[in-house]
Formats: sequence, C-alpha cells, structure tokens
Amino acid sequence: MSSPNPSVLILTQDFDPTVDPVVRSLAAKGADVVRLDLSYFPKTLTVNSSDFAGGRRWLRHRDREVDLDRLAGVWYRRPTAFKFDSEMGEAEQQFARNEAVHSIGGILRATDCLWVNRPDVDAVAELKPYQLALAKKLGMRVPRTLLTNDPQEVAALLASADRPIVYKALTGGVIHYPGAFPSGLLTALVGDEITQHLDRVRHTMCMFQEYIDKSREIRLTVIGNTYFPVSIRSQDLETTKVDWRGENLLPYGDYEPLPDDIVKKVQAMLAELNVVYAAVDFIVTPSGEYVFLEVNPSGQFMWMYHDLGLPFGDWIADLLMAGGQFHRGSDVTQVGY
Amino acid sequence: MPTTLVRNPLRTSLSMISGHVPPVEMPEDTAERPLGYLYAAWDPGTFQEGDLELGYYDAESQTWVDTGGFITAGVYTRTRTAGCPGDCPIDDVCQ
Repeated sequence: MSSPNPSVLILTQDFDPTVDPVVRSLAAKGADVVRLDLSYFPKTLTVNSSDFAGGRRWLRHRDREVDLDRLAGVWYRRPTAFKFDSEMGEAEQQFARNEAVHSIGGILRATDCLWVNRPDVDAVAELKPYQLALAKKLGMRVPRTLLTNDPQEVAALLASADRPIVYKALTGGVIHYPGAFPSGLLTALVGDEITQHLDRVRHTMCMFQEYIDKSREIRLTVIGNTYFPVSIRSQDLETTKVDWRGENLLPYGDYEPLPDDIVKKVQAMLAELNVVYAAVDFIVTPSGEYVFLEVNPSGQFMWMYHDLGLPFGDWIADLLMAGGQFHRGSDVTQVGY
Repeated sequence: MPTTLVRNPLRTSLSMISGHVPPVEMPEDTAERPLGYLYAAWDPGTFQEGDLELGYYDAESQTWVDTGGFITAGVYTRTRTAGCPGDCPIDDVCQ
C-alpha cells in the first residue's frame, strides 16, 4: 500500500548546501522525500518503466523507491553525470551514456507532476543573451551589451564608449584553474590592462557591458508566485561596488517591495521562460530606475536565509508538496524581512 | 532534454570531491587562457584559515554532515562555503 504523504524527488549532487534545509523541511512536513544524484546510475540506481503487469514507472536507490506516477513534485537542482564502469572503453561509455540520457530523460519528462524547474526549461532560461533580449522586448532597461569573440570589436567599443565598461562572465562567479582549483571571477571594470590581452578575446565568447551607476541592487528570489526581494547596499563597500559577490557578509538594505510595473514585467518574463523558480538581479539607479541584469533559474538562496531569516526552504518544500501544474498568474505575494 | 539532463558539479564543491589541496602560488596567466582569467580574483587564503572538515554525505538523512558544525568545502579559497553557514553569495550563486 502506497504512502498517503506527498512524494517529492530531488535531483542533485551529494554536496549541495542549498538542498539540505529543504530536505529537512520536507521530512518535517511529512513528505516522502528521496534525494538522488544521477551519478548513482547505473551502479546503485535502477530506473524502470514497464507497460507490463498493469504498467509502472519507478526508481530505486538502496532501500528507497520512488513511484514516478505518484510524485507531487521534482526539484531539479544539480544532478551530475552518470558514472559507468571504468572497465568500459570510451566508445562503450558513450553508447551507454546516450542510451541512458535518452531513456531516463524521456521517463522523467513523462511524469505528470510539478518540476522546479524542468531541465529543458532551465537549459533555455539560463541563456543570458536571450534573457537580455527578452527583457528589452518587455520594456525593461538592460545594460548595453557587446557579445563577441572578435578583439577588434572590443577595441572599437573601448575607444568609443561614453560610459565605463565591465567584463562579465556569462556563467557565474567561479572559474577553474588547472587541477580544478576554483577561484572567484567577479564582474570587473575594464581598464588599460586589457590592451595587452585583447587577443585573448578570440578564445571564446566574451561579454562587455556599460557600467550602470547604482544606488543599490536587488536580488529577487521567485518561488512560484511568491517574491522575495532583497535590497543590497552594494555601494557601501569598495568590495561590492562593481559586483556584490565581492563580500560574503553583505550590507543589506531595508525591505522594499518591487514596484508593480517591475513585478508585471518579471512575471511576463518568467512566464515566457516557463520557470517556476528563479533568482533575478536588478540594479536600482540613483534616479530609482530598475535595470535588469539577469535571471538565474537555479540560483542559490540559503545565504539570505541565514543572514535575514527568509524562509526559502519552507516555501520550496510547500511548493513541491502541493504539486500540480503551476500557473504564473497576476496575483503575486511579496515577502519582506 | 537529452543533452541537458545532467550538469557539471558545483564548481566550489570540487575541492572536496577530489580532496585536493590547492596551491597557494598564483598560477601563471598566459595568453592561451580565455580573457576571463585575466579578471579572476586569486585569493587562495591560507592553510590556517580552517581545518579540512570536509564532512560526508549521510544517506540516511539525505543531507551533508560536517563534523565542525559548518560546511567548509572549497577550502582555502574565496569560493569557500566556510564564510557563513550553508552557502555564500559567491558559491555558484549565479548558476
């Protein structure tokens, strides 16, 4: 006999501090929660879909089983790659990987439950040039942006720019050194140093943006139709002026709800992106104008929970347990701190 | 879907996954590296900043357990999670 409790599946790696409080919250609320990393496949994770004997789809990992037809919600965070037997050669592993990704991807996509967010949705939603284009289309101001791998385009921009220019990586604030050593890669003002390194623009796509004068910044976490706008007084510290990620302990501002006009535009953007969860970054200029920077469809939030006491974990847990199809509506609740 | 089902690990978790101790010398910045490396904030910290309390994944509770009360992954780096309980703004926050 199956459990009457809501069933929730979380797909992520073992180390994911954002997920731990949500797992605890789900358990405390009585959900049947199973957390899996796809790297468990195929050694300790079995995936099954059968039309025989009544039809059933399920996953099993050690002593835990997930009935995919009974799921209320799936939180797609950071599942890492399948790990096949190292005895297999690369060709065999590639075949095994392709079979697995098509099959497991299809089985999971066929579930009729709430996904926060579906991986195919995330894959498109996280494309920053698309986000910027969409934001402009919806009437939001965005920083003027150059995306290029042509050094001459960068040189021309720097020679003609009427504003300071920043370099900003498209894929976040962390960069690898050889040996997988991580270091910070924050948005940086471009100065004369670039002139000796312009040729390195050829190696891959680079993003340059006009620097926008700021009064403060807003980190907006969106969980369903609930908004958690957090104000960051980034101009209070030298280390956070250009990029607020420059400090671990941030200078927060007082709670200020987003203006209705911005809420409507964000809702329209997130509806277009089809995401249930997102973190959205804005600059607020000295004149009070909101400038859209980016959407992070799997942005993390627990640092604000610890600093400000915002109950993100409980809201995520409630959303996953409620399940059903999500509709991004016009009725938005903003939560302060 | 076929190419988007799995992701790279959190980059700040690689220290603990591979268990490596990062070098404290600034890697040589070469012209062969993408421009982004020019703007990387190299601050590996010091070995005195914290013990190697990497913790472990507890399959029963389905959460990460660390022995010191705080997660200290990504040790010695500006990308470490040791700065506050849980995670920090810089830890892959915009991914």
